Amino acid sequence: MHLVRYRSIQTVRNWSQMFWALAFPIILGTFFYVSFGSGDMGEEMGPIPVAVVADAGEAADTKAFMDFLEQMDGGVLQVLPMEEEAAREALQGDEIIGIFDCRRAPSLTVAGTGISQSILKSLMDGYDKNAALIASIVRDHPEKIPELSEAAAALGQRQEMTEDVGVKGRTLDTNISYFFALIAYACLAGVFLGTQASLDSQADLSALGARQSVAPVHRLQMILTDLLVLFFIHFGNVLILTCYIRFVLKVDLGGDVPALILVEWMGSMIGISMGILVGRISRLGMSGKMGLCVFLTLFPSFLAGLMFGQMKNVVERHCPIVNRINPAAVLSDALYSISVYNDGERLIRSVAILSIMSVGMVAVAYLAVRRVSYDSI
Amino acid sequence: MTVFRCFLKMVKRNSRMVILYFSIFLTISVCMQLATGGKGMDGFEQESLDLAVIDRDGSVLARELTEYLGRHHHLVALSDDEDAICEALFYRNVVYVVIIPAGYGEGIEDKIQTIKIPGTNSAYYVDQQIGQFLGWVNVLETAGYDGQEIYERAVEADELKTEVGLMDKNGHGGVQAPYAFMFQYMPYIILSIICYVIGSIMIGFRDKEVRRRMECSAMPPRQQNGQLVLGYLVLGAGIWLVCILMPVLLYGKELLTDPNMPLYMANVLAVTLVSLAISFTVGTLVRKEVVLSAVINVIALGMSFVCGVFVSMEVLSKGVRAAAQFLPFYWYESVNQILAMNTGFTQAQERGILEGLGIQGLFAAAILCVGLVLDRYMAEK
Repeated sequence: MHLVRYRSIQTVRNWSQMFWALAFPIILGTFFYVSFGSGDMGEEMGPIPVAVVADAGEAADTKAFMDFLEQMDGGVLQVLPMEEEAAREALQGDEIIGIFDCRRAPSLTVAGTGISQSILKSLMDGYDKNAALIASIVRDHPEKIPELSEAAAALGQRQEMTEDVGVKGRTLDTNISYFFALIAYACLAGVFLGTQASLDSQADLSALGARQSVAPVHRLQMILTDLLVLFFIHFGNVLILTCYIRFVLKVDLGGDVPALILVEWMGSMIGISMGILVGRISRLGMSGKMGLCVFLTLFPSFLAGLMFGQMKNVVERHCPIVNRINPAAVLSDALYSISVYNDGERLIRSVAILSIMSVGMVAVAYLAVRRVSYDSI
Repeated sequence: MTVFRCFLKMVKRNSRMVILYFSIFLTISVCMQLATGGKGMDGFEQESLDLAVIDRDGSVLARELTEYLGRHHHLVALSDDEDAICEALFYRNVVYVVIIPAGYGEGIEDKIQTIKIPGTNSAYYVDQQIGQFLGWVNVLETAGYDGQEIYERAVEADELKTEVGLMDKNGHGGVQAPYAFMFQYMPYIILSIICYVIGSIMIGFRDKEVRRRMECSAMPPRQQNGQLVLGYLVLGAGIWLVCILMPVLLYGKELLTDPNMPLYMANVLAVTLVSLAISFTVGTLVRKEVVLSAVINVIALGMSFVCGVFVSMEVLSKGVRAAAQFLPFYWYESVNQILAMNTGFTQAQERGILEGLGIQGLFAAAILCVGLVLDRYMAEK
């Protein structure tokens, strides 16, 4: 109990390491929340601003097209009547997405190739094609004109043709992958605590380590106590972060709490074990080891989507093996399995990989610290 | 030039970190280039989306609808499994899934089932196309056509092409210049490297013993500070040069012949000056290297997320964009966006570029002044 108590106090009072393990992920999560908002997918559709260039006395077909645009005004489009010069200037300055020129046959000019431009083209296409189709049918079957009017009016009513059905997943918001990567980062941030603990226990690097090496406590007991205390403290850090994300930022992380706790526990073990291994690298000084810790947390997390949400997917397409061995990616995958869709198979695969990683890391870390002796300090 | 030489020696000691950051930067750039594919084209090309069609019906209508969608979009093979569909949608491997229910071909009373990301432009776009095709089939049936003739007439109508004029504003066929992403990401790298290197050096120079020895030396303080400033500027110039050379190495002639190249260089120079000012201020306040790393990451990552470095500014909410105007990176990104999409500028865009560059300069000056005041205060303390 004495060992547990003082190791706990020592770890928690080490502000610089606790900053990386606890405060920094919370700060980063807050930045994410501020950037993306809550549940804001950033893909939502607003009216597309378009300029319409027309003469006062337009022909019948262009008038029909302008009536068609007016029907869209306020919904899909924001129609802005303009002169040609002003319209081109507005298009050049990105104030509008396209120009419908209705002075002769309706034409469209755009300045990009995105979805909004494609919608404008699609609207114009639709109008031209519908008109051409109706005209050809009337030419071939003039006797069918009365029946055709109702069917032709239904041509624009796309909503009645399709029915949106959901998926069993809770969210399709890709911004949540940032929070998954953040939790994965927080788990790996245990590397700072593990490194500091490893340095503290080495007699040639710290006075505390020297005192511990001559203490009448079995080495095995000391090592296991340190590992357990660090695991629990860091697991607590990750739980605090999870609660912050779930209850303060109100980001839904899924309803399977036991699975979430299991994944975070294994992630914490991996982080702490990695830290103990880093602390045993004799060739690096303190600042070098801290630099290595920053690299070992940020780079795998970057590959798991901490800075660019699609990064994990890019890696999956071009080099999937990296996602299998990157602990941050595996953690993120496991969290995704719990939150986005409640499917056992993917979760089991991720948990299996995490188990192997965590047990392997702990075993290697234990072997690294077990039989260390000093000829002279 | 003793102080200057000492400064350069300390920079050399931090070279590993510098190389690490630049390597990460290059890796990210190459990865993003692979992801986006560097698209560009000569004329307007309607956006072709990644769709999946799951045909549970197998009727002629279902096949014709699938072919119609295949003519406009890229059809992705997807198994009729809810988990596979969810995953494909989540990672945007497909943006729209069409499920043709069994028995649909027997009458057009049932509706086509769709799974999509709701409220998005891509969802509206495909909804419209499906409605159009099914509407044509309905109209043609009403007009008395039957069998294969319905689909032949529908295909005929679909082949009518609408010409769309493309105002090519930047010489890249209406898409963003491929190297614009590297320039978008650059502020994070520049700030991280400069803050880390200069911060470490300033911690070294501010050591009590070192400071006392320097005050006892024959070299006047003004000369010492001048050599330090020279060191900062040389480091900044070196970082700026490497940051310009990296996209040139990746994109070569395409970037060198871009008429906006001098403006890209000026924009990067402006953010370098801002980073130098921030690093000086941080170095003044921070006394320990452990704390330095934490402070740099919070400032660099925080500003990067909020100002559109990692996440495009269009994705940020209006409130965030309004608040981000009080941060220098925002102005860098706004200039970068204009340069990425335009070569000839309107008056408003020219004003925007000059504003962005000017405000970054003002930020650099203001932050430097704050740093100098703090430096004087800490020295007196």
